Amino acid sequence: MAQHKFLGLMRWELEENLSLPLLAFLVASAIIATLINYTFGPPYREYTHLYFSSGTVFLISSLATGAFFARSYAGSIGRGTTKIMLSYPIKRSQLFLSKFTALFLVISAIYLPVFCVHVYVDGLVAFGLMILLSLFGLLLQLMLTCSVAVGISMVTKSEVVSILATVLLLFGLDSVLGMWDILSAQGRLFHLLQYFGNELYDTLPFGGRDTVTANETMLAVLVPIVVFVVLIVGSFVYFTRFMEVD
Amino acid sequence: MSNNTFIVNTDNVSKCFGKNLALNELNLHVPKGITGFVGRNGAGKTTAIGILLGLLKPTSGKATVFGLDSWNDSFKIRCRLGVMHEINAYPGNFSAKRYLEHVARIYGVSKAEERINAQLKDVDLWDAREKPIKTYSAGMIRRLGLAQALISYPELVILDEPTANIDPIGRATFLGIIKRMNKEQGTDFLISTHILSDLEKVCSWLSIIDAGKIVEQAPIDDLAAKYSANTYKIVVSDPQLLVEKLKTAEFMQKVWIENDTIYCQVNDADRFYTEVPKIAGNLKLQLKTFQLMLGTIDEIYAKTAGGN
Repeated sequence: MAQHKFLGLMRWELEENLSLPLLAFLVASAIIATLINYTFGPPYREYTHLYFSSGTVFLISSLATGAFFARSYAGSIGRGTTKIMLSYPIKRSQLFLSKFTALFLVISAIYLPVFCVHVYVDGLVAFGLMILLSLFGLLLQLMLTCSVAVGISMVTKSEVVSILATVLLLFGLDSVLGMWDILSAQGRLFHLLQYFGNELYDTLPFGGRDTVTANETMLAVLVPIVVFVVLIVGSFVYFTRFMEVD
Repeated sequence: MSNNTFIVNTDNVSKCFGKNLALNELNLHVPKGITGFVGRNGAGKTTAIGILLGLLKPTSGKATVFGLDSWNDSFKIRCRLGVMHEINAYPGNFSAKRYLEHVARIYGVSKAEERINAQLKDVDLWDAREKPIKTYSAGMIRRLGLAQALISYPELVILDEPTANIDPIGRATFLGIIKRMNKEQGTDFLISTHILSDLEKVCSWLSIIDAGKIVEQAPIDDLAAKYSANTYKIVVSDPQLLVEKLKTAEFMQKVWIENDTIYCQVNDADRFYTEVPKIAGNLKLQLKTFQLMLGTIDEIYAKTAGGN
């Protein structure tokens, strides 16, 4: 029964938030993120090009993900949909988790395949290990963005403020840290590709730069995961135990 | 009445939003039947409902619904409740039918299809059942609100400003459904509103809130008698003759005629009751009507919360 209700809530969430204009916006943003790189030149068949072009993918996917999650969490609190939902026999935990699962599946289902297409068009092997690492890098960025958007939504309860705060925070951080830093989105991808390229294929995709250590790579992966866990668990506890819906 | 006979009880519930005191030791009691919950805008009605539903946590005091704590046992309470909020936040891209299908699934309504169709017909949304909610008028959305609140055969239905934005015919239909549900299925209702004329037609109990506090609550007939202001209505064969005589009576405060009916405000009701038939008899007048005027909800409200 609980599982049936959970799936029902996911369906509700998808039907409510994936009406045609929004779905079209998400898909279009994913396609634009991919195609825009080809205005810079032909396929390079190099990971360095994938790395440099990933900036656009991260930028657009973070924008769309932040907006999508903020709309669903803060937006539904602001509009009063959460108030109506929580007047039905729905546990707060069910509502929070069904929303999150549905939205994350949608975002992943749109961006990860489009990124694969991007990789393929770029002249690289679409399902090679390095590509899976690139996908992992994108997944980490999506996780980070959605957790930040959910966390900010819980605090502000305002859709517009949540979108702006999420985007400014993530892009501000990336801008300050720079594209090679382990804490920035592109820096994370650089560390993944450089470390595993060296370890597995004995090549340095970014040959001109230093090798990266296992610890640095571990840190690059762990930081977004820890931030994700802390923000999502914190938001979950706040939503289920303390949040008042006015 | 003891607190056990009430389905909703709040025991000195206060609620603060920052420095703003929205509820001030609220003692709301709702018995079975149809209860009117009346107060001006900002009096605390919606906050009180939020607390009953477990959406808001009381700053102090305790609220129970069906004897269950409103914050800790909120889920159990909501399984037995139907709610229609004042806000319109139904997903605009859903049709009424699709929306009710989702709600029925959440409540686990058996024979959902049948129930949904019956509800759509009941609230007169059958013809518009496949249209997106965003194309509905304000009245249609209120009717959808009623349909979703009633879909699970709830024991208690809480309606927050149910007849706002509804035309007179729609209001009559709305109130008719409430009366019928109460009579046929024993569904209890708590109706929060500031449209007092609606309540007179359906309510058996009235709770009046002002500035976050209950200022009066009792069966509506008791309140009507209490706030009658000792005004009586007399119909006789020659009202002018009787009025001349009554004007000089000691127990009389004020007397006037409207449409051949005499209205009297008295300061000694017992003497008035015994003397008037005698005076009428002496004047050889036929006493056709002689009764106490009960207070209307408007009068009750004006004398309790309205004057504050």
